[in-house]
Amino acid sequence: MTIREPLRREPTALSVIPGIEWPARPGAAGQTMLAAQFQLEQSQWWQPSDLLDHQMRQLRSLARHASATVPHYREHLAYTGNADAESLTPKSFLRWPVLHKKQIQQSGDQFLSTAVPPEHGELRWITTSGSTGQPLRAAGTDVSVFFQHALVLRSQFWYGLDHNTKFATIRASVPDFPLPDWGAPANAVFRTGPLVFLSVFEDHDKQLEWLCREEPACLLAHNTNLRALLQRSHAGGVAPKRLRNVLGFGDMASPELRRMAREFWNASFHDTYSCSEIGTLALQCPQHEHLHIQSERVYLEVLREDGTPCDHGETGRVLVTDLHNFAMPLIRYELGDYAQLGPPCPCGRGLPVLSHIAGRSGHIGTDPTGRRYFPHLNFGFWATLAPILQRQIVQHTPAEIEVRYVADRELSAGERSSLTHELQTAMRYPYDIRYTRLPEIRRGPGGKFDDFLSLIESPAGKN
Amino acid sequence: MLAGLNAQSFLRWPILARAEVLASGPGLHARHIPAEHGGPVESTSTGSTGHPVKVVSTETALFNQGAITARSHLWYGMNFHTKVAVIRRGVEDATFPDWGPALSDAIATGPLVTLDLIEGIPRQLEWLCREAPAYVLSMGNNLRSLILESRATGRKPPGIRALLSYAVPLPPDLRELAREVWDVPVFDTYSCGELGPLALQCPDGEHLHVQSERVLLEILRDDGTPCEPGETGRVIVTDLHNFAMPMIRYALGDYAEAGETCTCGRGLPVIRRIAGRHINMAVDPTGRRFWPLIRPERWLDTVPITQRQMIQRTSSLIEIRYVFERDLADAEKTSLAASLNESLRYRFEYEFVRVQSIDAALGGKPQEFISMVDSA
Repeated sequence: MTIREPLRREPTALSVIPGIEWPARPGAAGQTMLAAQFQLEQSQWWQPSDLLDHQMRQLRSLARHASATVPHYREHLAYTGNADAESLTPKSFLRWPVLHKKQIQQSGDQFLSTAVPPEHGELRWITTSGSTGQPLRAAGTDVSVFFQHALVLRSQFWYGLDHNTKFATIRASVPDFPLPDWGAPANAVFRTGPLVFLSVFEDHDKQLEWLCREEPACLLAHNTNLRALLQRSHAGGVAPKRLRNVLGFGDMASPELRRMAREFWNASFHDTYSCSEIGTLALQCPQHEHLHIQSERVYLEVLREDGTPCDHGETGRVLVTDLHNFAMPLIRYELGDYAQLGPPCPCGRGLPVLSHIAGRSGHIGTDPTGRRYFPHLNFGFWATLAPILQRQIVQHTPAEIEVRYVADRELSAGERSSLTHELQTAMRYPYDIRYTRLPEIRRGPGGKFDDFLSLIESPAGKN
Repeated sequence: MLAGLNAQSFLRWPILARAEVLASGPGLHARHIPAEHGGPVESTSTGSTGHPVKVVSTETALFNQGAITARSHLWYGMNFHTKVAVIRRGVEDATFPDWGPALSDAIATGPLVTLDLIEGIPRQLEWLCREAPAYVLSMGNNLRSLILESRATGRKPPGIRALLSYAVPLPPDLRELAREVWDVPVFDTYSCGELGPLALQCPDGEHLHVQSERVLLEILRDDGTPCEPGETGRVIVTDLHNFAMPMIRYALGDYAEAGETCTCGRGLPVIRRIAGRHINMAVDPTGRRFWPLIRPERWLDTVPITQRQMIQRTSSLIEIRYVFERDLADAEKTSLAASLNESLRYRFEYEFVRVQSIDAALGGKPQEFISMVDSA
């Protein structure tokens, strides 16, 4: 008989009732958050069909609200062929018009509900980082932000983070001061360790020096930034000693990044797929490297170019619906990302699987035959063939590729030749490849660093 | 000094006997209850050993009792949309829209129907067949009687998914009977009126898990040292959350066998078996057989006797043995007899016998009701 090992670690929950140390009775915010966690703990194990049923319940409620109170959506239900939101099905919902970011940028007011139920709380405005170079202002509610937070806390549970430790964040916008605790949502429920911040725009050497000084147990940062930090760390022989968990976001993490985190920092790597407008969309499975769509929060579709749903293994564009934002409903919102659905996860969770995310359509490679593909560029040969510190691949035309790189010296003709050969083989086309050495490669405005950039107009023209 | 309290030194904290609770009364009540705890609430008392005890509790402590009940529903995978039937003493024959306050604030549930345990078994079975609940909560030996009646008459309540037993040790053949006759599992709860649920059956086995988040439960040898797995000893419980009338190292009068750590992975301590709390069925001259459980208030509100035991001598005569500082007055006897008859739904005759003490049954609690009538 298998004997399950009891859990050894648990967070220290905060109690507001004098004398009641354990089990804790948290304050109202903590109680509500724990109630949400209880539901999320259950629903993750539901059958996919049950999850879909509940999503449709919520989606109908959202569609009813949006049709009645949001000018932009006034006619949308009619497109689906349904007389009322109660009749919406996953199939008829495919006819609900796709929402493009440009539409919100051009006429944001048309997306605001004229009657947000007061129970949803205050409007919460955000301005997106604009990773595609197009900043956007969007409104949520206390309720939609609450569910964003609920998924953040779920991720902390999934990855077994120790709330008593120090948490470090490296991102685009940070406050100027450290915080005594991890902030929302964890601090509504648990007594936590401190939180420290650093701007992603700091030099990598400074970031690394800061990490080694702060010695956090958890680190949250962009995947591209993490890769650069890990490379510096390895090259310089310095590493933060107490790191246990690295949480990455931005473009999907590569196997190479996971390996480096494990080997160089002795840390587990956990990936998150998110967007500023909605928050977390998918979280890495606690047992596997692929991601689970957060179906309790978003209705995420992966579609072929003809608008029909992709099967497992097919790559398509990502549309998301925020199930809880009743202030500025984002329904069938096209993120500009491409993703691949995976088969059901052996972990037992019914949450659908994303096996790959390619990021923006500007990150899709092409060639003169018209083939479009994810340029997986985290090849081992980068490190062995040339002393490159940082690189970026830019596709100018279907047949032309530019390799921009940062290095202490120009690459030799032999190094270029070897790299060209490997790249042509890996990218499966004999591209015309040229090399440009730069003093540095700049990040996008949101702090993201693009490995691969296509300057060819997207055939779908979605962005 | 208290900050230094540990599992070892706590063994020297004096044990609180039921008699002391009775004798001390308000002396056990806290002079100040933190306002945030809510209450005080006069809680259900128990009379299962013949010692009726009044307990004052708080809303916080009762909330935590409810939390354990809700946990039991989740552990046993109960479908919240279904109907639950409760057969226990002192409840009305009634229908409620939901399963009650422990859950209805958080989860939409199906209805709850209740029936008094005093009803005869055929009537209970007929009621169950009519109500067709998914779950039946009652004393283990009542559930056993219902299944035997069902087997004998061929009448089977439709749609039952599981039986939930409480209060008395599970009859040894109940699980087998439930499987054979109704094809359902039995989930057992070990509880007491003063503290609520103390231990719940493991969802993956037949033993009980102490609800350590709610109570500190000790199983002690006669010399006061803790029992090892496999040993049987006295059950001593501490309510971790009752700040109105702290019950600290309270001797329930039960005996239990300690178990090994469970293979399910739960760290909650294991009780293999509970001994004690035996009760017989009563019968009246009409042939009605029933559980003669009397709500403790019936006794307490009439005469504050210390301890009592009922012995049915014939189908119409019940002897009441009682421990008290004096003989009961005739008026008290008349009043008590009227109250008991109202509860038992028959005009029994009573003989009152004052005694020095009432002995415990072998390895357990004193029996509340003993039948000398062959009613099996």
